[in-house]
Formats: sequence, C-alpha cells, structure tokens
Amino acid sequence: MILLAATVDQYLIPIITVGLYLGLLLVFGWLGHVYSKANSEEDYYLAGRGQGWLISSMTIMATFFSSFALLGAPGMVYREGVVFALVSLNVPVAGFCVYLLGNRIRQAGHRGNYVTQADMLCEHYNSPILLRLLITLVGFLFAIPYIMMQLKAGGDLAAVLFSDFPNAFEVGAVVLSIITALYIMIGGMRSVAWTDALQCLLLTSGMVLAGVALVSQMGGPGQFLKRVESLPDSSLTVPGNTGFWQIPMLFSICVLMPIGGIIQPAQWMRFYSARNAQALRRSALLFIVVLTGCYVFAIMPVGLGGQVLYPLQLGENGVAPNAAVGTYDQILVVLLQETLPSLFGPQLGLIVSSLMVVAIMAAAMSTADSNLHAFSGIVTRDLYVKLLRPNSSEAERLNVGRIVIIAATGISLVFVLLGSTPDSPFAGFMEMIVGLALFAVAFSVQLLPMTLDVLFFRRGSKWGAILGLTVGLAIAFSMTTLFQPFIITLSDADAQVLRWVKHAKAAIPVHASAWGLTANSLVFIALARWRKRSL
Amino acid sequence: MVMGTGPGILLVNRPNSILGIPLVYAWGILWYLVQVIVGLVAYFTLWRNDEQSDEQTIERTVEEVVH
Repeated sequence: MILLAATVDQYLIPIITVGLYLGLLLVFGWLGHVYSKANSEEDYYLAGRGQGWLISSMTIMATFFSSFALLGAPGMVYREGVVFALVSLNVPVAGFCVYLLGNRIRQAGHRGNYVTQADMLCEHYNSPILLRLLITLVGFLFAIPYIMMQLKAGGDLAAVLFSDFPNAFEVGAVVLSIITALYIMIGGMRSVAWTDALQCLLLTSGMVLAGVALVSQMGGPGQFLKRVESLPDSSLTVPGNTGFWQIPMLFSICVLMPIGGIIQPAQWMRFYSARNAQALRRSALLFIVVLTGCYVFAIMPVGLGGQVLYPLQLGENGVAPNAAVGTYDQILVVLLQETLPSLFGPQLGLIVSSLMVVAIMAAAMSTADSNLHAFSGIVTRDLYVKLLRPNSSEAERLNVGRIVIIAATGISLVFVLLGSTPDSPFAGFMEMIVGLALFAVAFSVQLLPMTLDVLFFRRGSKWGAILGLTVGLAIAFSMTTLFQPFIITLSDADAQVLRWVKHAKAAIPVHASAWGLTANSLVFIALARWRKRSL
Repeated sequence: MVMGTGPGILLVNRPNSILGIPLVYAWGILWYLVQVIVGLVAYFTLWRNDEQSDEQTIERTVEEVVH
C-alpha cells in the first residue's frame, strides 16, 4: 500500500505540475488571440511592431535559449569537461549582434514594412523569385533541425521521468509538439512572445537552481572544486575528452554559431517586432550578462558535477556515458532526480524537480514555438503569397500559416521518431542536441554576407548574393555529419567526394559553417568586384 | 575572442588549477568578465550616442517632410 502511494506521488505530482503549465500556455494562446487584431497578418507575425523592451528581451533570450541550454549544454559539459566554459563565450557575441545587427534590421523593417528576412533581402537585390526560394530553403534547413532538437528534448525528458512506461520517449515528443503547435496557431506572435517571457523566467531560474542544488549536494563550492580537480586531465583541458574541441573548431564555432543564431528567421522577425532601439539595447545587455552568467556559473557545475558523480567510461574505443545515465543529454534530469529529493525532502523535492521539468520543457517549447511561427511566416509570405496567390485574403494567408505549422511539426516529429531508433542511419546525427544546433546554424550563418552588405556596405550584386548563398549552403552541408549518410544512399561513385571531405576536415578542423561561409563570401565579393568593373 | 577562445588558450591549457578552479575554467570566467565590461561600456556610452543621433536623424527627416 505504501509502495503504491509512493508510486502514485512519484507520477502524480509531475503530471499535475506539467499539466498546469501546459494549460497556462494554452490560456496565453487564447489571450493572444483575444488581444490581436482580427485577421491581421502583420499583427499575427510581428505583434503590430510594438513590443516593449521587457517582452522583446525575454522572447529574444528564450528563442536563443533552447533545450540546448538545459539539456544539450550540461550534456556537452558532461562529455567534454571544462572546455565548455570557453564555448560559453559565444553567448556575449550573440548579445552584441542583438544590438549591432538587430537594431539596423529593426529600422529597415519599420521603413520597408517587411515581415520576413526575404522581404528585405530580395527587395534590396531585386530578386523576387530565385533569392526568395533560396532564403526559404535556409529557413527550412534551420527551422526543422531546431524544432527536432526541442521535440527530442521532450522525448528525452519523458524517457527519464517515466522510465517504467513503454514508449515514454515517443509520447513525450508527441505531447510537446501538439501543445506547442496549438498555442501558436491560436495566438500568433503575441502569444509566442508572452509564453516566451514566462518560459525565459522559468528556464533561467531552473538553470540557477540546478547549479546551486548540485553544488550544495556535493558539500558546497570548496568540496565541489576539490572533487572536480580529480577529474581526468582530458576533462580539464582543451580539446576535451573526445578531442572534438580543437582550437580552430572552438574558435570558428564561438564566432559563427552566435551570429547564425541571431540572423536566423525567428530572431530576425523579433527585431522587426521590437518597438524601438532601446528595447534591443537592453536585450543585448541582458543577453551578455545574464545568459552567459547562467552558462558559466550554473550549467558548468551541473556537467562537471555529473562527471564526478557518474564517471564517464573512457577507453580505447572512445568516450561513453555512465551506464546509469543513458545518454549525455539526460545528465541534468538524472542528477535532479538524485539530488533534489535528498536536498529538499521527498515531497518538496518531488515538487521542485517537477518545476525543473517544467523549466526544461519551457526551454524546449520557447524555441520550438518561435521557429514554427517564423517558418510558417516564411512559407506563407515568401512562397504562397509572393509566388502562388498574391491576391489571397489575409484570413486565407493566416489559415495557410496554421497549416504550415501543423505540417512542419509533423515533419520534425517523424524525423525525431525515426532518428531515435538505434539502427537508424541518422542515429549519430541525432545523438546530441548540441550536434543538431550546430547543424542548423551552419545554414543560417550563410546569410551573413548579404546581411552585412544590406545593412552596412551596399556594394553586393544580385548574382553574388544568389551564387554565394548556393555555394555556401552546398559546402556547409557537405561538411556536416548528415552528408555521409545522405550521400551513401545516392551512389558508390560518391566515395571519392567523401574522401575529399574527410581530408579537408582533417587538414583544417573548423566547423561546417566556416567552410560554407568562406566559400560564400569569396563568391559574393568576387562577383561584387566584377560587377563594379563591368559598369 | 582570439584570447578567450582562440590561440590564447595555449597560455593556460594545462590540467592545473588556480584558487581551486581548473585553469581553463578560470580563463573562461576571466574573458566572460572582460566581455561584460565591454558590454556595459557599450551600453552606457556608444550605443546611447547611436540612439540619440538616430532619433535626431528621424526628427530631421520628419521636419523635412512636414516642410
């Protein structure tokens, strides 16, 4: 009887807490609908371009802060060690970009009444079809892996919490996707921004709580640091346990990942929707100070403490997580289940750990909703309205946008469910949340030459933009981990291409985004100079 | 960035610690603090001036349109 009561409590409290949170999100979706102007496309996608600094800051931070922050980053610290403290230094770069690029984008958006990034870039380069299609492709290549990442997080979370139940991973991913799609479809940008604000509060408090709880559990900062000192040398130095974070790789990721994360479609639309420069200036400062601080002082202790409590299996075959942990990305949830009940007592510990679960869900949902919402805007505005039905009514466009949200959620969910099976050819690609994030930004960062040109230099050419982006996307893709399983399905003759790619990666170990961006910029600059000469 | 995440790391890439904190971790904290200071200076000086000149330009444009 006692055992039964304990089991009921074990599942009842988390289910009630998560249920209340999900219900609250749907209320926000409904409120967003009530406060919106009926059938206004600009209102649905940009909240009437009137967002103040607090909501702007929180929605920009929450969109950047995804399951990467609460599951992926602790997982990476757990796998690699202290090198992640240096990876965290990419976050302030994103903060500086929020103001330096974001404010210019906002000004241009207000002047030109733009809704998507293609509206601005295609008008500047006078390429209404080809460039628009390419930018839509970038949106797809960024949004789908990013949404997948969040759904995977939902699945991972459920897999640990409800480990006694069969198919917990699948159910978790499905529930997270349904609720997220629902509240965006109901309330648009306004509800996305409001829920993001709530989610931002939850996930920053969650990060801090996780760090503090773990350090306290290990006997305070002194004891914690003493035990960290005993970790293997590879955990305390660069390039980390797997050797992934070579200095060129670290540097290229720290410079390019934040830029790719800031000029991605969802953030771009947030810059359009900001009311004034002050909103972005304050967002930038919060980004630099608070967000990076959370990584350096809260997430780092979680991952390092994880290594102390659940030592990695380091051997000749490489690195593997401790058998009690499952996957790297599950380390935070495993630690919380362990530490919170002994720190707060069984009942209160269960409540606090349920709140942490809500914080992790918040991190995942805040990014999934932003990307789904932005992707629906891209497909509706850039494909349906500009290329297929220019005379469609606003109500029709909004309905198309909602259908796109359902379709994108469905596609992402199918990829996650297929990729999560151990015998899938994409199992390696789906192994870690950080890997998916790095894959996505390799494409969004290819918009950088065009963005800088439109905002600052204005010397580029239409064909430089089109060919540069095409070459950049192709080369970036060829350098990602997805290239190998993709190309193997085509033909055996491609083995030569694979060998070249392998040699290139070994010779210059930088991230795929840097490879693509270098080729892209060279083409962009060469064609701009050629056009100047021919005039 | 060159010092914090680039070749500057070679200066501290040893499994030692300083004040009990692993050296590489302490290096990350140091450059985080540097970035925070740069951010604060930009927030209170450079970006504020930017905004003022921006607002003046907008006001001038509005006046030109009105006249």
